[in-house]
Amino acid sequence: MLENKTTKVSGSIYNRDKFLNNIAEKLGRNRKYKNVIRPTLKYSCHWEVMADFTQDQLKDELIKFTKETLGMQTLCIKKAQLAETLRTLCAHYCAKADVHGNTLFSADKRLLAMLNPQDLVNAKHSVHIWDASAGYKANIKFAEQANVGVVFAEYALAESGTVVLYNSALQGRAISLLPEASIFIVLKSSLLPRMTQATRILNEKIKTGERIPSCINFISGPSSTADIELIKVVGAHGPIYATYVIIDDM
Amino acid sequence: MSMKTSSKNFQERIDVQMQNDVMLHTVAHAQGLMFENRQIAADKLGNWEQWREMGKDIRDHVLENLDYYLQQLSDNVKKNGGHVFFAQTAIEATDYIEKIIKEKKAKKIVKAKSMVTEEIGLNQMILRNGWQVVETDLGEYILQCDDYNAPSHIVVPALHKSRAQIREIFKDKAGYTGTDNPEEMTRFVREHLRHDFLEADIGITGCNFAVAESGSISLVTNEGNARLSTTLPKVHIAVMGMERIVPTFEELDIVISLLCRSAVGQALTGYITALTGPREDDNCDGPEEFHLVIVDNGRSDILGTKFQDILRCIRCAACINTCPAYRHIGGQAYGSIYPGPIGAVLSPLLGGYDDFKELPYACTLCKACHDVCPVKIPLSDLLLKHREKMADQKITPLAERAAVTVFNYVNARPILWNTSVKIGARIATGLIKKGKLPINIGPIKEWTNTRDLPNPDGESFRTWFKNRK
Amino acid sequence: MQKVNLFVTCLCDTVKADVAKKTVQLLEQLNCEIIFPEKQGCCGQPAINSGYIESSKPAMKTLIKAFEINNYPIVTPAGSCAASIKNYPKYFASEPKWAARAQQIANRLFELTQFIVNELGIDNVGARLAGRAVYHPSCSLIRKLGVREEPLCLLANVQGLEMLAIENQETCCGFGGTFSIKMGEISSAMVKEKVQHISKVEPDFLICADVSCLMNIGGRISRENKPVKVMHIVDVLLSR
Ligand code: SF4
Repeated sequence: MLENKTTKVSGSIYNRDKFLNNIAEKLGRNRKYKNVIRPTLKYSCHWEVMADFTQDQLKDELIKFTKETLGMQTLCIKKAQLAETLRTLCAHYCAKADVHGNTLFSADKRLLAMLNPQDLVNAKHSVHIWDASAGYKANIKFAEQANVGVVFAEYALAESGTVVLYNSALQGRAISLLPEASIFIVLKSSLLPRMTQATRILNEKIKTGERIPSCINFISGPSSTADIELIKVVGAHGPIYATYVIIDDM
Repeated sequence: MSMKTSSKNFQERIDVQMQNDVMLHTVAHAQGLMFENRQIAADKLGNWEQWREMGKDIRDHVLENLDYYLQQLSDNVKKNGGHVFFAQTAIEATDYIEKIIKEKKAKKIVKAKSMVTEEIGLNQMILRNGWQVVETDLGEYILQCDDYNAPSHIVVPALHKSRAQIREIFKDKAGYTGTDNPEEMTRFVREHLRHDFLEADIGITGCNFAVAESGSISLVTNEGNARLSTTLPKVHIAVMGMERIVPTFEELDIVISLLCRSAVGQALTGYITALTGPREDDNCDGPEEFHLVIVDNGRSDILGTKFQDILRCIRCAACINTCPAYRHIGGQAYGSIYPGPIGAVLSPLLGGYDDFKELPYACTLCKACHDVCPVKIPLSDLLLKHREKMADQKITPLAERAAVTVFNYVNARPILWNTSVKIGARIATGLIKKGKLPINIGPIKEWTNTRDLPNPDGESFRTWFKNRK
Repeated sequence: MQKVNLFVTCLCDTVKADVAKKTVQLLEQLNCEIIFPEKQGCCGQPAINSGYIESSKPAMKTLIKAFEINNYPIVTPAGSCAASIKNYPKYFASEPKWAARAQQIANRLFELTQFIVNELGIDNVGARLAGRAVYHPSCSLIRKLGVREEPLCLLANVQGLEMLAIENQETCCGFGGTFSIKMGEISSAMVKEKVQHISKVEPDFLICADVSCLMNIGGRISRENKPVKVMHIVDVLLSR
């Protein structure tokens, strides 16, 4: 529920008028308080990227990009195969924790509607589901211990191999951040060509006055760095491994 | 560290840097790679010139209406439950942050890479107070371990260090015992800093672009440290240069597309994070409190001047990665946290000519930077404008001014010029033998140290042309 | 017969007169009649690029006047000087009349290869030169005047000449006018690297359409005693 999302702490602004008056003065005019129309962009080349692609073409493009450029895998499966696929993936990612593996699941309803994470539990593998009501400490502790985090992505962008995550009470920020491996579930019907479409959707939400989620992440593969001699190392502070799973819902 | 990174003068800095073979080698190699990656990414996107033009238009529009968009931004941050502090100066900014840290009784602060926090000297303030601050970007962490060695690049701050040097730094300062393999060292830092993230009371980040319409700030990163810094600590403070703002997410798409490709040759970096206010009440991770510190620190003095174009900058470093002068002196020679073409224009504007007067001359005006800048900043023209301003203000050397006066006097008078050319040709022919002058003093020496002079062709052209008829 | 004004530039007038002479010969061969407006001076780069724009204006005006004696095209064998003059209108922003006059001159002004290929419509001047060559595209040509293909096209049609590519081909040679003296060390490092890249492919010739770069690169080649002959493009185009 949207209404519940507003926060109690009220915000504040300091020193604004002096600061902005000075800017207006330097620009040689009076303060502008309204009626600034942002110009329409001169070109539409950003809309032209993969404009006429079908969902299947977008899927192929995404798979190709993640494989060739990000060095990671993207699977495309039927909904019925999800439990089995995750079982395999989790086992793979937990293999290094040779004693016992942990997977942390988002509680996103769309994800839980597709499978029951408890089905993945076995002697060597435990499962936790994000539970905001348990508070920061408990959830972060799970996230710290988990080998794998499974989250549900709103969209995926074919051009850049990106998944778009919205945080919510059900899907905390840490799930795709603290565990060594991330698994992102995304619907084939939610594949988009590029950031242009994803930001348009946000723009529309904002126009209606809706507060967008406090943390939106455009994630392209596992974390990485090239700060040492510009040599790319996959796995920096964030996850070291990532897999995208596209659910063929069409 | 404030903007100024060295107490040595320009000549001393150049002398030191040009002896540093490790640095020169690393920089040349990195530059080649980054230049190539940028080009590939731009080509792959296609219509690059159209993209650049859109980027320029967006940034120009924002600058022309900056007060409006900052007002909108701050209103929206407030509406979302965040706090906005407008800081005219570096001191105002650090004072405000100091106050928050005290209020929160914070002991440990994690920081994600941000140029503007360097510019305002944030770390000095924190250290002065005896609090602990951890730079979590790998490059920044290396430099912090190396007793706050100055950064040499705005995107890859430790670009001047080789892996062997980095290994030594980690060994001495962080108890590292492994090899100089980049992956191994990166993993070490990952483990090493994880508990810092978990213990930190406050996370401080920069802001690549704020979005006015939603009151969001965006962070463009690869390592995940900015996400950790804004997920685990209870308080998030974002510090932004006042011009780093776009109207809506639609424009954010364009500038981020340009930034990622220009900076690192990626379609998008690993993480583009858009943060809007503190976390929602029903969430359990993410900051409970969000502060946005908007910093002027000299930027408004650039507005409305012939240097305004520089405020379009999106800090991608493409100009640095292209600059042949940077290639041969490295970033630290500039003596500013902003090196290369962008630094040579910006540093004197924000920091004054006293400290940075040489930078506008450390450029051949080759315009390579101009061609790669994603927001079409005419960098070399702006460098020339600095030179013009210094000539007008008579900051330039007296001897130079005298020489120019004579030159311009003669050059404006055809008869005088005519005679000078003819005599000049004769003198040159008489003096230069096989590319060598009998004496090498003063300015000529700068040339003849490494190069011969041209062998003159004898009589002047105009003498030849006249006699020919 | 096409009448053409020659803008000789100060370097060609004094120390590199051969380049100017050959420019005259080449253009004559291509059926042009050369006019040399005697009141021309230097484009003012040394002063302008050091920031002395205001005090350079009288000399700029003299140059403008010198070429207003007729309406024929103006040709010069030096890209950087052409680029410098093309900037004059900008400097006269506060004197619209002079800005307009400067613009007239700028419109009539062509760098030599640009003139031959685009104005005369000639891409083969019948030159012959046997050997392997590196062409250095000067910053002024490619980035200031946008003359990238013209010299390459003329060189491609020189019989017997093989063109070689080098690393960082389009990187500045480090001349930069007063930069070469003011920032002597950086300039030296740049030209050293340029010569290193050139030497790697062991060419017989180094060709450039800008006298200033030739002086710089040539000066280094000579200092290193490299067996590379340094040629202005006009030298090449006149070779038979
Ligand atoms: S000046 Fe242009 S190229 Fe240089 S950092 Fe800024 S935006 Fe990038």
